Amino acid sequence: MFHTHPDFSNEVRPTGRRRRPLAILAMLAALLAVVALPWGVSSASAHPKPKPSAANVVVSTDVQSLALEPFPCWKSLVSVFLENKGAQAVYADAWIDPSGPVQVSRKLISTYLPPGYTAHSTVTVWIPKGTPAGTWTITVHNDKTSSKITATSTGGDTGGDLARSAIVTASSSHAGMPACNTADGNTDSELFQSTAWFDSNARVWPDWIQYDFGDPTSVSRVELYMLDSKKYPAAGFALSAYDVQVRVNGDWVTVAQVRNNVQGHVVSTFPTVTTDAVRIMCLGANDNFYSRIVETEIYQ
Amino acid sequence: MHELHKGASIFDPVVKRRSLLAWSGVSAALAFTVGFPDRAHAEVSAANIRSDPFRLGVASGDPLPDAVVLWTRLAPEPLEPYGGMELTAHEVQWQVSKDPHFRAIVRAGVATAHPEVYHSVHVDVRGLQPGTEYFYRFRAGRYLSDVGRTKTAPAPHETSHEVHFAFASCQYYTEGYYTALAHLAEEAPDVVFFLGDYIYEYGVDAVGGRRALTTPLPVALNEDTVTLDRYRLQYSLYKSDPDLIAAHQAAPWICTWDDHDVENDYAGPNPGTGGYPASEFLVRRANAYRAYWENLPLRLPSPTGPDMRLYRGFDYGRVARFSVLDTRQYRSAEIPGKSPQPDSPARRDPDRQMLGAAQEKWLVDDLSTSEARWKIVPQGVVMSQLVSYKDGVPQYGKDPWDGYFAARQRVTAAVHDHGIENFVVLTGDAHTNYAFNMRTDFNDPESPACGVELVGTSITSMGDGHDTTPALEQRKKDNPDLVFANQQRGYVSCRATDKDLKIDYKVVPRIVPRGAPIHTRQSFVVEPGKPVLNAV
Repeated sequence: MFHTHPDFSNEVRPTGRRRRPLAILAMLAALLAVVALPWGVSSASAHPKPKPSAANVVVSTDVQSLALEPFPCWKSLVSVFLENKGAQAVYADAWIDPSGPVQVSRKLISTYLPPGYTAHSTVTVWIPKGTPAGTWTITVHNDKTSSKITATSTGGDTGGDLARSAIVTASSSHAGMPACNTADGNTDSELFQSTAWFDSNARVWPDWIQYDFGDPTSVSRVELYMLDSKKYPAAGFALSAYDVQVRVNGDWVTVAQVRNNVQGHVVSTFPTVTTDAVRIMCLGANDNFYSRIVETEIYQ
Repeated sequence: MHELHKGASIFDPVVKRRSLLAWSGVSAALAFTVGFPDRAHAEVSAANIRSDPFRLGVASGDPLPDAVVLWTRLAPEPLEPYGGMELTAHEVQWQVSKDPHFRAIVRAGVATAHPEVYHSVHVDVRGLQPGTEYFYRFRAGRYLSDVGRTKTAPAPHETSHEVHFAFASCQYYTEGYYTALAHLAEEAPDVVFFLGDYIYEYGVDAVGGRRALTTPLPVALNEDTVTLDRYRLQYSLYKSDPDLIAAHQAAPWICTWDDHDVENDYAGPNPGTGGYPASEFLVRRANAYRAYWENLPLRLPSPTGPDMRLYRGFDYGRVARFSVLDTRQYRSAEIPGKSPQPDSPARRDPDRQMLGAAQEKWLVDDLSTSEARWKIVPQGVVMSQLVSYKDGVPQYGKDPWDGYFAARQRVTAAVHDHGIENFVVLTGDAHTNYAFNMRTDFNDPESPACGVELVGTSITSMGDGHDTTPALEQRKKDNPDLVFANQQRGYVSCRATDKDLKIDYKVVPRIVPRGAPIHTRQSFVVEPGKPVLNAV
């Protein structure tokens, strides 16, 4: 009820006046606590109910099914379309609702839509490490239309390759050639443009690429597939020299060294170590230009 | 219908009615524009707001002698979709008081926060006294907002007062902290001009760049702003910064935009450097303009798709007229090629616009009809000539007014031809403090002086910075009318009276970590009738 004299006296007050560092810090801490979500948005948090509207906007996606695997490097892209089929411009929402453990890069797309216009956005989809095999749905919808995507995981069978399920980072990455390309299961140099990692600092050495496992595990063999295609053979474009390193008690230890290399596929074996990360320290390439790796495989 | 505060009865009921009409007039206009709440059918929630919705603070802006716009946004969880609110409208009470303890309430009312505008609230409070400090706050459910301080403009014919204003720009979030804004808040001027790049369109990583946050930001922030939800999220992140909140709550703001409020180096309907499809640019601009309007204390109507009137004027009695410009929306395409580049017929093409014909005419009219002592033009990009040399050939930037030579000439010629005295340009964008004596022809030291330009540095863009660099020293040698240059972070504080204009360039030594002090790096005085900067 509203009184004739709006009485603010009983209200929850901020704890001070205009410049309130403590209260502001408390607010900021609360803000940060709120956003301490797992990487991505949990499916457990419901989004606001879409508001019924008079607009005629159709939401659709480019795929109806997706393969997912519980690897940090495995990220699928879905295209979401919002089409304004009405005669008036509108501002429209599309909501992205994943079920189960599925994570999405955004739960909401909002945009201005002139009449007859289709907006195209992309959403990244993944599942957390350790998710067992399963089937889930991602529903992309507004108040009137929806598109259902079935997402399936086989539970992450990697054939023992620890790199597939690692968190992969690198000293730098060329645009469009991210570090995760070395852990995508594809060893084909002919497809290097979509399945290799290049660093982005030409002629600057060393570069490195690193595989973090999370938990310590046994490692005794590392295999590199470097650029070795018909047009770009290993003798001209593979790494000429690199060290294989493992992290033990926080320090990096070199367990294998490769020098004067002209091969595309190189296997390094060493006495079994227990480690939570492997790093390839790239010391040179046969053309002295970029570090180029198509695939890294790491075995117990 | 809710009863108004008892105190409202001491006011002229005509004034009261007018204030209601002014507010409902704005809302009625909103109802008929695209994507706006239909007030007649708004579903106003009776549900309680369950946690503090005032996480982004409050703000005020666009002050007139008898009015000011109050702003807030309901966002209990600012980085969640719709700020964590349900998609229903909520009532928000507001109060304006002469004292910070709300014992002398002068205006009060109820506004509605609609989901269509992301639960933002704009209240155009009328019937205020001129040149007067006020305090304001909002209530939603059980929650009270912070108290904001604001101030109306002086009465129209006032000549005896001082206008204490500050201007700032370019607050790229990931470069560091808004330390300069914390100091600006403490200064509590009469009005703050923000000259663009309130947000930057780039994705924000989990740790917020140099801010090195220990709790990761949502992954939804880690891509460029193209869609409306993403621009709204960017404002939610930036506006949760405590120094920015403090600066908004210390004084009214008058804002204009620059390129990063949409996309780097965009020009009118032409996209900038982001590499996104040109055919989609106007939709992106519509999204950006809408989020801008939702998040700032503007009196003007909201955007209609990709268009939004932003240029406007403010009188501060007879001491200063501020003609606020929009140097992005009506621009012709930038000339192709590198920046900087040598002179060319394309650069001088008289058909190329910076302001657009309508705004250019409005500016000349505004300047020539003003009876104020100082004609001040807050706007986006460097207007003065700023040349560099490559192999002895003068080079000019494409993006500032140097790239729109004919448009600049038209403005400086109009200032000269109409006998406009005491022309002062306020500028951002350059991430550098500059001070220029302006001429009608910058290449002719004998050509008439026509005013001064004060270019303020960025709040954060370009990091900690340096007082000077070899390039900056060369700039000063190459440009005799450039009388000051500094490349640290900060803002500019000015005091205008009938007798003079005092200018203080204030800088901080670093923006990471927080808490650096501020000091005045350089001061100037300008006297009426003598368009030249006098170093103090």
